[in-house]
Amino acid sequence: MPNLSAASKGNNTSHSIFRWLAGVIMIAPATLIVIGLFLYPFMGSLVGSFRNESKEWTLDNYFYVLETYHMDLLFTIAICLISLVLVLALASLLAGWLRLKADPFVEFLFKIPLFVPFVVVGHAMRVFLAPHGTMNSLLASTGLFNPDSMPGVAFSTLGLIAALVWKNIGLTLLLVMGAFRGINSSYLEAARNSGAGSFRLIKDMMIPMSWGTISVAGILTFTSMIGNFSIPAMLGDGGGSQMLMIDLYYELIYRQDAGAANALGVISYIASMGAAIYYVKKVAKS
Amino acid sequence: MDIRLDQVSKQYGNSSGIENITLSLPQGGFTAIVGPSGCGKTTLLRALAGFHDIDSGTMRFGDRDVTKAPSRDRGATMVFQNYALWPHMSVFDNVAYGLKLRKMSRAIIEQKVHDVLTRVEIPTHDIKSRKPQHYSGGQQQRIALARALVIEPNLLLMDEPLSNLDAKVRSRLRVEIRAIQQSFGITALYVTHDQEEALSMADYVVIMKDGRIEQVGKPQEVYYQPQTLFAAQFLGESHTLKVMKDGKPMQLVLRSENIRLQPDQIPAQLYSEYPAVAFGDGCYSFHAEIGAPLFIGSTYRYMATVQGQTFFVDAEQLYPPGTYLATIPAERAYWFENGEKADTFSQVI
Repeated sequence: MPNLSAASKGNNTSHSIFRWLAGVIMIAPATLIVIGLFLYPFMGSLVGSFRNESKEWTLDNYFYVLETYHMDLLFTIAICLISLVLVLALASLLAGWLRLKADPFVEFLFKIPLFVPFVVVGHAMRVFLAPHGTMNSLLASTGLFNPDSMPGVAFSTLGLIAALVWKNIGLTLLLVMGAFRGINSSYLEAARNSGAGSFRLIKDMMIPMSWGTISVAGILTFTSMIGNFSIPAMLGDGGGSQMLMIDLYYELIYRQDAGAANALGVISYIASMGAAIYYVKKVAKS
Repeated sequence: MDIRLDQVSKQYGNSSGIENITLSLPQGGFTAIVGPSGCGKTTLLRALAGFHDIDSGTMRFGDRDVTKAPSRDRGATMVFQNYALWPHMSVFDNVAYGLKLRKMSRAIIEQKVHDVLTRVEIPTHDIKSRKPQHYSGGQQQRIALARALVIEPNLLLMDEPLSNLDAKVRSRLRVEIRAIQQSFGITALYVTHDQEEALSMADYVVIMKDGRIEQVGKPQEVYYQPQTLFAAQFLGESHTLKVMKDGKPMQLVLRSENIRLQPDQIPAQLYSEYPAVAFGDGCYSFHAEIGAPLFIGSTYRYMATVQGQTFFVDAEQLYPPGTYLATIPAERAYWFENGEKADTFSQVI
């Protein structure tokens, strides 16, 4: 018996080493990708944001960026938050309606933006919302509006928000609808015969029961909006505040100030991380 | 409020639905629908709840035609098999939800919620902080019952509410649900596949098969006077013997608990010379071979064979395997011809 247990102990040791190695091999590709494509460039950016052109350590980049772009930073966060609220509200209402009525055509219609690149969305919105664009031409053709006095929504903050909302609604809808469809029908039926109408079913049942998924969708949407370049480049008010990615592009390409560009990158990263931290805290609480 | 269904039909493509259901649920009565899976009992319940539209027919709650009324306007509340208590709300909010939608004042809501939960024996001191999932299955079903009752519905619908509970809790809750229904004086419709549940709880039992009603009656009526072959076979521990009578095939339905055994005078090898079933002294009798007993708790169960057909006999005494004369009182033997009820025979066949 003692021999037997010694042998099995030896087997166990080699077995656990093998398991450990197998585990390392399994996670290696994902870890290397995160290190190579995310951590390394991020650390480079972080280090670069604290250095000037002569490679000296300094906070000047941040002073410069915050002094020059603090309004743009607030503008970016405000635009992203407004768009986010609109996306989440619209997607939740639509997903709720589709959960109750199941209309494949409407579902398809709202999933189209998933497969349209950002730059195409930007261009489409420009054409549609320009001062003499499709929307204004259609409205003018009714004879009720003067085509020369109609606003160019494309070149206003509203146009920017409209494009961001339209582009992001597909993915959010997909995620939220998945969660809503996972809700057992008996919960909704119990609410219906307690007296709840469709809006109440969405507001009181579906949304609170899917809060985790909606938060994830919100964070994905928020970070995607903050990091988006092509839509703010093509739409919005050129004379007013800009989105951070436009500033970053300007610093990198026109002023060739890598330190300032890095500082802007780090700031936008922190803004996105704020959303992620909020989510992690919420999950930990629940 | 009397509930009346008239010629109600609902089909789902080719699958089972309900066909031409005409049924009355008397005010304050407890009606149980019983039947095998796919017989349409849940479809009927859901049609009454307003969860799906019916293809034809009418449904009336009192004087009001609710055939086209949306679920939320019917005042028919459902208790579900899986309780369907909203997990993101406290017990208080679950029960109060329907009252809040009716825009009642805070004080009245508080009072009604506490009252109804007390009546279903749920302690109310921590209902605002506890979620339903922190309660046992039996308690959750009582909370669900309270949620359904608190809005004082016209009709209480219950869809196999005890199926997820273990046997002991189930038999206790049967008594409790019945008592609660009676104390509220509410009209109730209860769907179950468990005949014991239906017979023990209900004022009226509806037996359904293939989307149609086979028989409606008081529990004793449907149990002791089955009107169709299916009703006879479905209730109790029933067995069907195929017997020829005047060259016509007949079915004789027997229940295990009604059969008595006594030692047989005729050797088994002569059985074929005797009729399968004989009548005398108000009883039918047949020669049967009995196998080894199975102890099932309160009685022994025997496998009996009569002319190649088998059925169970339940008896309190222990009999060794062998040949026996099995007898059954005539009023407890149910005859059918081609599935239709036939007269009871009093002559030797």
